[in-house]
Order: sequence, then structure tokens, then C-alpha cells
Amino acid sequence: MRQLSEQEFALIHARLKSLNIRYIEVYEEIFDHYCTTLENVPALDSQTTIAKLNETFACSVVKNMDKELEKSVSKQVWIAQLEFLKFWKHGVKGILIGLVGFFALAISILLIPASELILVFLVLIFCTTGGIYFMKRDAMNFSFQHKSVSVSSIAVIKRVGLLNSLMCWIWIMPIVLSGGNILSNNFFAIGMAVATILSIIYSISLIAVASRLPKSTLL
Amino acid sequence: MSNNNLIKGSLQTIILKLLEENEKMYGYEITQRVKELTAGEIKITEGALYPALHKLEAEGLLSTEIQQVDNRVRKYYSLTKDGQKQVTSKMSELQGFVENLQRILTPDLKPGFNI
Repeated sequence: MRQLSEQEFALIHARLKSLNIRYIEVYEEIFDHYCTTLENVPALDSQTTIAKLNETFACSVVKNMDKELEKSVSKQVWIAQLEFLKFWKHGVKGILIGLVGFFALAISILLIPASELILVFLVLIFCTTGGIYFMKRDAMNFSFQHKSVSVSSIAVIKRVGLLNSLMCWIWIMPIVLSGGNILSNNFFAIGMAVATILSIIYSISLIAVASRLPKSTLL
Repeated sequence: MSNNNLIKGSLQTIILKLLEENEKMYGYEITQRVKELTAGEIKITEGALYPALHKLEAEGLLSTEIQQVDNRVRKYYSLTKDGQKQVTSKMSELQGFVENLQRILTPDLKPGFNI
């Protein structure tokens, strides 16, 4: 086994970067594969080996790896969320926190007028969503340059995005369609409460999952 | 053997079996081990191997461990308890399939033939 030269490392990185690999985990696994393969061949065969590896890890193969990893991690996140929702597994402390939250919400529904409840609910939703975005900020890229990101962070962020869109439809559409009159309707307020409770439980389960997921960064 | 389609259906079983024999392995190591065991007759394509590993991990049959090797990270895969249980059933499933295939290809073979 030999040590790779700086030039070889640069060649591998250049190739992998040109593939626009979406996830850090895929990037690292392919990078290790390239390095280990090259370490086991003489330096003279380096160029031909890299060419062969480039064929093996063609763009379509890498895209498929990205896609499959995303599917697998998405499944893992969902399983972890379901596991988190089994409140009886969190012990007395978990059950008490859940009950306090539930009663706080129930009291606010009873005391605050229906027309103002939407604000309370939106604040709650934005707080939990903001928390998730903050925890998984490594997945966000505001530059025009491609950046590989952590697959688990993307899986969590995508779910929050989906939840936000869904909540917007649930809140805004009936208000727009009724010209705001629906805000004084008690049934709508109860509907809002149920949707908010579900949304918050979903978001909290995502926060719990997100906090347990490892943060991947490229070396 | 160049036909990768024949390997595809049994790839997960191959991975589980190899991991049963070796405590933990990484992607490159698995491809090399298969090549070595079959004298180069079977080559697992990396494009199929890594998604299969990720799928097995998502199903809870494999666990992973990241180790720093020189200036990079290496992902090691090992069997979980569920994975260990699955190896036996997957192996007998595959052996049964190969037996039946053998019967189709060579009908003169007596039932109960074992490979």
C-alpha cells in the first residue's frame, strides 16, 4: 500500500466536485473508494485507475447513489419520528412535559378569541420551524456554487418545508375564500387548534430526530 | 461472469453473509472480498453496492461507524442484531432458489439435491 500524492488527491477532488454530488456522505464514501483503490495500485497505473474509477462512478451512478441514500435516510427519519411519538417510552418526565404543553394550548384556545388564535398558532409553528432550520442550518446554501450537504439535514428540512406549505394552505385558503369572516367561526378555531397541535407534535418529533442526527462536514 | 443482473437479486444476501463472517467492512473491502472469493468471476459494481448498503442500513439490518483514516473518513458497516437474525433466513432463501434453479436447468437432478 502506498501513500497518495497531493496531485492525486487534487485530481480526485476535482473529479468529485465536477459531479456535483448532492450529499456529503456519498462524496466521502466515493472519495474513500478512490483513495483505497489507488493506494493498492502502483503509482505508474494511477492515471488509468482514475480513468476506470471515473467510469465506475459516472454521473448517472452518483446521482442514483444520492437518490437511494436520500430514500434510505428519509425512511430512517420517519422511523425515528414514529419512535419519538411513542410518548410512553419517554418516562414520567416526557409524559409530564407533553401534558403541560397540551394544557397550555387548551387553556390558550379557551381564553383567546378565535380571531386572534391564528396569531398564537402561527407564532408556535414559526418557533418550532425556526428551531429546526437553525439546528440544520448546515444544509442551507445561499451561494451559487455547488455545495455537498448532509443528507439527514436535508431530510429534516424537506419535511419542515412540506409541513409549512400544508399549514399555509390550511390557514390562508379558508380565510381568503371567506373574506376573513371564518375567523369568528368557532368550528374553524377548533380545526385550527387540532391542526396546530398535530403540526407542533410533528415539528417537535423532527427537532428531537434532528438533534440526534450526526452533523457531517467535508474534511 | 459478466451479467450483473444475475447478482442483483442476491446482492443483499452476499453483503449480509460477508458481514457475518467479518465483524465490520467498508465498501471497497466488500468488492475486493467478493472478487477474491470468486477468483474475479463475480465483480460487484459500486453503483449497486453502495445503494444496497444504504438500504440495508435504513432497514435496520446494518449499523455504521465512521473512522478517520489518514486525511479522510471511512464508513464501516456491521450487522445489527436484526441483521444477524436475517442472515440465516436470507441464506436459506437464496440456497432454496439456487436449488430450484438447478432443477430447472438440469431436470435429471434428483429432488433434495444440495449445492
